[in-house]
Amino acid sequence: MSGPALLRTAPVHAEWKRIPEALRSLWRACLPDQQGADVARSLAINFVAVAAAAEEDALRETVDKLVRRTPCRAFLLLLDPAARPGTATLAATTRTHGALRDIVLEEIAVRLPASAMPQITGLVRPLLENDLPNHLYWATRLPADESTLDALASMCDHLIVDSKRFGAVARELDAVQQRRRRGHRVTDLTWLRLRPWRRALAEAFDRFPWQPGAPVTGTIRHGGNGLAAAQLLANWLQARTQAKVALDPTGGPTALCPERVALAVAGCDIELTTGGPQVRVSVSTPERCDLPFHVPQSRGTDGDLVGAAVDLG
Amino acid sequence: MGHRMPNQPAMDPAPTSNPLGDELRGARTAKPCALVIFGATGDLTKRKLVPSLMGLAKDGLLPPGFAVVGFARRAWTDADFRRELADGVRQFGRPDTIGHFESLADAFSFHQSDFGEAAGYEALAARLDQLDRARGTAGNRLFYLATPPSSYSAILQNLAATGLSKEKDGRFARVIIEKPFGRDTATAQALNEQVRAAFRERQVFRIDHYLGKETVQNILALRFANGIFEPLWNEKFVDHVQITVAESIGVGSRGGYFEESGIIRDMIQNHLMQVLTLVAMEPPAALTADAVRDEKVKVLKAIRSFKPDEVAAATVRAQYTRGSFGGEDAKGYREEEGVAPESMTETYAAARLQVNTWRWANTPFFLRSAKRLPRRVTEVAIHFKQPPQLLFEDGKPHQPNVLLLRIQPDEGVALRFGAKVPGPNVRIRDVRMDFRYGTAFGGETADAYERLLLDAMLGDGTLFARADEVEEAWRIVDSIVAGWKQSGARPDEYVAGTWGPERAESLLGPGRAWRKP
Ligand SMILES: NC(=O)c1ccc[n+]([C@@H]2O[C@H](COP(=O)([O-])OP(=O)(O)OC[C@H]3O[C@@H](n4cnc5c(N)ncnc54)[C@H](OP(=O)(O)O)[C@@H]3O)[C@@H](O)[C@H]2O)c1
Repeated sequence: MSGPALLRTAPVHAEWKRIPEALRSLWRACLPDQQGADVARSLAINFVAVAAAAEEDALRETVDKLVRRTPCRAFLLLLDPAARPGTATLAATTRTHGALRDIVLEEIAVRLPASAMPQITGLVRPLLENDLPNHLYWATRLPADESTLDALASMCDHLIVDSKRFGAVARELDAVQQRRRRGHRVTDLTWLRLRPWRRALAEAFDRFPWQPGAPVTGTIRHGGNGLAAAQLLANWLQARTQAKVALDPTGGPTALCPERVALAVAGCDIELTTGGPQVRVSVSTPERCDLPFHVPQSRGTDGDLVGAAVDLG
Repeated sequence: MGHRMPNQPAMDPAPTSNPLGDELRGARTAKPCALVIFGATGDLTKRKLVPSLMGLAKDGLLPPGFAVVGFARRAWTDADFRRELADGVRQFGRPDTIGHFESLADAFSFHQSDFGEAAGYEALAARLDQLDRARGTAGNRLFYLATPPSSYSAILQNLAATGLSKEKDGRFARVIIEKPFGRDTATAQALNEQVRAAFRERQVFRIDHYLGKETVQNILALRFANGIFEPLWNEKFVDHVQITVAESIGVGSRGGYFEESGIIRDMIQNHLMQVLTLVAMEPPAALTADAVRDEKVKVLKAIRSFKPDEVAAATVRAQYTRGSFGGEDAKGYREEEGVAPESMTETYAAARLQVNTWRWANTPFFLRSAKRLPRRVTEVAIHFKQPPQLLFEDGKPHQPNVLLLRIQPDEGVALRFGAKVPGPNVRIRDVRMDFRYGTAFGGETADAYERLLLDAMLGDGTLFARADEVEEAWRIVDSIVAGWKQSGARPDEYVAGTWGPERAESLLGPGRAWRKP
């Protein structure tokens, strides 16, 4: 299967106030060479992303993945203590499909120190493409002072965070919860990453009759990077089944999802473990011990998850 | 003629007692099951079915507890079967799906038997019981008839005789049946009778792979999820509708098969009629299988059968003659392998159908399908009426507005309208507003069979043809075929690589022309 080809223009540097002209020059740069050929802009969202400058490559990879499904105007706001604000770097990507050519990414990258962030809303707001949904991807930890986040979020319809990046996990998860209670749409990529685990647990609970109120106890083993995921899963089980779940932090350090979940539910035992690309699920009840079944592990990169979050949001 | 359907929920309800059950409901994940493919050494299994299953695996949509049993005559081992399927996944699957096949390979096994041999089904039943224990398939079975239609009867009878078609203790048994579903009303009814002797209608999934295409499903989304189209979607505003399924290839090595069917049976009775029903139907009360299909059947019922002497004026049939294609000589139909030199089988058919409802009373639907046209294209073109007063360009009419639903290739929606050419004069030129699926949603799209296999596992029949739909479509097609037969006239001719015979233009009536997409 040969898909469409993506072509990226050379980067253009512009002062902030010259960004609109720079964008127009990009459109011209996207025109095919042939006489009479045309190019269309097919943007479906505005995508505003905030990340540490050290994470720039990862963020670009995410955006590359995202535009394969969701063409966008992307603002990459890179926090760099050494940067002097005032200029931006622009580039565009076109997709060619036979004789057809569409602009699928208009990228505006800005490096700036955190102290200049309050100015950024004034830069971004007039450049948001009209009539499109605005998604804010906050690809860093939640700051204690959320005023800049608030200002950007107020321009956007949907906030995407990834609690794997959180430092003070409990506090930041709580801050996210509070935002939801205030009516904001927030998607946590870690929650999406946990989808196979949630599904596996739901499948497991399908294998025996559940009595509401039955005592549920258990442990979730995780490593250093998997704390937020473990906490989210524990909170979810607690909310749904009043489970008392302990977190066991002795797992390998790198995995983003739990290593093992063990639950005891009124005489039934559920155990989920990771094995390669799958989650292995065993359920035993007092009457029988079913063969284990497998659920595929999370299938995506951060870019896939951001794409899924945009679809949801 | 209509067959009464029991009301069927779109999916099996998940037990309400599961405190985490909403994870399963929202996700369209099927219950564990075993898929038995009859005709598993055939082309369809290798090209479509197994690559599509691996697409589902890639997207995490295969149920936990899943197994496939291939049923055919050849003396293959499990290893032969898996090797052949792996080859199919590599050639025809979505990128990066072969790894999924490798990790699932031991879920595939081969069962050698003749379709007519009762002992083969007893052995199949025993094997399926064993799979329930070994792979957790939980007693749920999905039977796929990927065989020549002549084998359906034997398979259905044997499934019934061994009790494999019975659903008990909350376990499902479903059957997927490939096209062609009969070759006329009588054979379709007879086949439906045979199916009914083994399965109840809600267990039956008749495949029309067009319904699995995203862009065909998008017809309903475009119509019913937007406020602006539906008010115009009627005879007051729509002059006529053209539905085209054009193929650029000839009959190739399928000449023998094609001789028996012709384009009207091969394409119009199923794919074009299905698309027509989606374009013309009333909004369903809900998006459930029977609510949608009830509305589709009403459209077919509102199309009168032709009297034999009406057929010549309302249809055109033709055969391609020698021509050139892509710079190379192309054979005429009658010169193709397996085709009789005096063949009367049509490779081009066009028909004017009238849907006799309040909505469409004066709007004709023109259907056309053919082989050896210049381009492979499937589209629906809604041609709107001219504005009541022509203000511009000395009152000369310009091209009417067309809303185009492109189903393949370059899937999308386009609107043609007139715009003023810049300058001091008032000149109107047609411009196009274009939405392309590939650009707006990008990414790889799942094959139609993926969606249909998943829906069958979920028990959702919305995208499958119901018995009464199939029979109604045959009724209309039969009346055309009868008219052609009675007239005995030779099909018209068109040169391979052109847009069809001249007479097709006159079918449309004054002021209208076939699109050359
Ligand atoms: N191929 C496609 O892309 C395609 C597309 C749309 C619809 N379809 C429909 O799908 C169906 C199957 O098509 P296909 O192309 O896969 O057919 P095919 O290649 O001819 O395969 C026929 C299969 O049936 C088996 N078979 C035939 N008679 C048998 C018997 N008496 N006992 C046991 N097995 C028997 C053959 O097994 P052995 O050879 O081992 O005997 C083979 O596996 C047809 O109805 C066709 O119209 C096919």
